[in-house]
Amino acid sequence: MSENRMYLRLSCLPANIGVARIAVATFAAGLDFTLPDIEEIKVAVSEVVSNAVLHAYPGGFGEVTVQASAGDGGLVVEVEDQGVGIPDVERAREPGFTTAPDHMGLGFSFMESFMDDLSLESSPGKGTRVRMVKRRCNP
Amino acid sequence: MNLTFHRGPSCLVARMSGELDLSSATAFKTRIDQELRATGAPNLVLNLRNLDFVDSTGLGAILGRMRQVTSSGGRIVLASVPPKVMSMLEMAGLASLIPVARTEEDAFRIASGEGAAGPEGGAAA
Repeated sequence: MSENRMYLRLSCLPANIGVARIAVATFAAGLDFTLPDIEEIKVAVSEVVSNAVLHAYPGGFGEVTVQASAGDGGLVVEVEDQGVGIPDVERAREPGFTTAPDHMGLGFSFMESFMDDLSLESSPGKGTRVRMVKRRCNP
Repeated sequence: MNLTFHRGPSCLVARMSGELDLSSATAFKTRIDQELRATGAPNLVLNLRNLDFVDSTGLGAILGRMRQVTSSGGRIVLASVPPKVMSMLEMAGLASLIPVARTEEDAFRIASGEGAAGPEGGAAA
């Protein structure tokens, strides 16, 4: 049997944050995650897609892709844009760092708290790719 | 996200339902600020009983309303906070900044200065 996968290609717009969140949560429900785990996955997906919407295409338009698959003993979520990239990745991951007014700068903190692994690749002018893993307690 | 507004004793009550994220944060801020101006209420009670989801953007919007209300000398109180939203408030450090009440009635007392938030989120005499 082939591995189940999900691939979403979305306009990088605020209205699609909920679309990504619900789609990944629905996929995760099929992997037997608990409801509290699914709530944590929803927050992590919301944070990473919100970052793309807020920062990837300043003043312009672009797309964000969201992939989910079963792997690493649980769920693998990969979110990628082809936007401006993050000039200083380490600083962007610091709790409380934000360039957006009225935001708390806790997006990466929430992603790291709610997921088991997080890796981030970003190149100025080429885009950003975030890979997150959530493992089941009893896979 | 849906908001309905009601008047309480010396406060505006905003009952929220749905999801508070980047797609709804601007409407949340705009509508509450407009209603505060229109009513002239000094204090704000946010009833979160039917809030199904909040992320860091939503929490930032709530923090922004706290700054708005307190800069005018008023108080903001959160009421009927669901456990999963409470966890988010605690993780973000907002639970120690904004009083949390079990019920709207408790929140009215805290907003009017008659009671302080108790250790378990209720109003204490």
